[in-house]
Amino acid sequence: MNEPQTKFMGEIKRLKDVISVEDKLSQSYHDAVIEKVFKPSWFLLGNLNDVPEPGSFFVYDVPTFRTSVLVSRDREGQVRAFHNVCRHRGKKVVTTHCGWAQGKSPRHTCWFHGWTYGSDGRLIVVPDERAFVNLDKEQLGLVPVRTEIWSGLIFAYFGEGEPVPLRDWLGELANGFEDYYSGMEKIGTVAADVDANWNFAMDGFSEGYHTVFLHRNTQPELAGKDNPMRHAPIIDLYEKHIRQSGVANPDYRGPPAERLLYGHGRKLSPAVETDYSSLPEGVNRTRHAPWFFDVVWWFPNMAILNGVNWVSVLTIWPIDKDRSRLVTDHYARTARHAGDRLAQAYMRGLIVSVTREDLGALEEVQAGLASGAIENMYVSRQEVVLQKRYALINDLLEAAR
Amino acid sequence: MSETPTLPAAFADLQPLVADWALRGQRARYAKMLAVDMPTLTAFYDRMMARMDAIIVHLNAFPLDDMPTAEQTLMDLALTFAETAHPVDFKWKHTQFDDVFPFDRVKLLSASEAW
Repeated sequence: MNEPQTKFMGEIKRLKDVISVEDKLSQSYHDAVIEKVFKPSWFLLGNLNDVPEPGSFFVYDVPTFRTSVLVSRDREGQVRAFHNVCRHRGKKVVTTHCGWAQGKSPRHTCWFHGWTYGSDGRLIVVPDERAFVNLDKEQLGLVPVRTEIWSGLIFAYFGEGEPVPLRDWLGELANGFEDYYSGMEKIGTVAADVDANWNFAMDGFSEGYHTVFLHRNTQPELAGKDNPMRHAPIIDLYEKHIRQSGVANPDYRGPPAERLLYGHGRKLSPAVETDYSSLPEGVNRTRHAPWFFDVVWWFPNMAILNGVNWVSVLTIWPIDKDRSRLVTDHYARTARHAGDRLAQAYMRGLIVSVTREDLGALEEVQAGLASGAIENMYVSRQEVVLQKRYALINDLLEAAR
Repeated sequence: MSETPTLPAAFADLQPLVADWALRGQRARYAKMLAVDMPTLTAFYDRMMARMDAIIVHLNAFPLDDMPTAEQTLMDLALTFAETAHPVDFKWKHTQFDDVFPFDRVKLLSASEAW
């Protein structure tokens, strides 16, 4: 049988299919990666729909940069981001639970001493203000975090100095997603702190090869007879980022409850929606069929899965060398009625079981690699996304020497 | 102890399921799935599958985020079904496998707890 072969767009000749392990386990490599790779990058924090109205806010702890970010929509409707750190004595203004908080409030009070900030970050109230000798409230608003909005998504930058403009950083992927993400609402977040280096954790979300095996119990119908190893039709390798078109099983039927719920609501993952009319140019750009979803890997630590009616965003935040926080935010086209909401519920329930398989594997990978038993990882062309990430990191570390 | 909410009259046959299964939020529903054995989960699934078409047609007539109490209870029951259906869909022998990441280390945030 002739399996479909992947069309690679971009430079792959110099990429290595043997990836050394030991160097990536060292503290010095990790420290250099944070400094030279993470600091100059943009990171996706959320969708504008996560803060729908004036006063809506969310708080996202970002362990890599040892900070907590308050994203809020002010009275004028502008979305702003601040370090969630009180200007008085430094306590978190909004307390987070498991690295997260959300709500709606025109002001935020730090309950240490009652300092209160507006949704625009201005310091409004300092209790017992006259007891302070020289306090200029005008100068003591929350410290802004640099953000830019692109296609309805909120990105933040944590490095020092002037960043590359977001559109330049997105490069070839800056166009082709208009109005796509703004039609989506968040349906859930699955997060976990794992004992794994972020690079090795990211590896587990950088190819479709594993899905046939690791997800055999939760996604048994993914592979079609015509393409049993799910070779991607096309992989676009850009300067930093990568877009991969994911193949679908043309004979996908789905099990009974999924069929029933996706029949009353929109078809979500893992079902196969064949009506591409709502897709922007940048998603399934070749209009390949049968198609399941695209993955865009935004270097270094994000993967965004773009389906017809759903989007999943995965971010892996390094906490320390051997510990990472995985955050997966799941979105679906905004529900019109109970039928759509119940379809969303089926998808998010299944996703927890799928994610638990991924998470279990990556801690075992970490333990295996840290054991020193194997010198190298041997990866296939279907795992080119790993190859590219490690190559790009090496380039950045070399350039900095 | 609070009283068990009542379902809309047309769905009174499902009332015995409410106390155990009309749950709020993703964590409560997934934890329930893990806490029961497959025969129990399958019995719930079968009862619900037979009524889901009617349930969805009924609930579609109400505003999604502002349902009357009886309809919201029915919605929660249906949401629990949707979020716990996959082990039965895939004919698992147990509600989870041994080699997966422990659920108590998984955090469900944001919209996961909103409905």
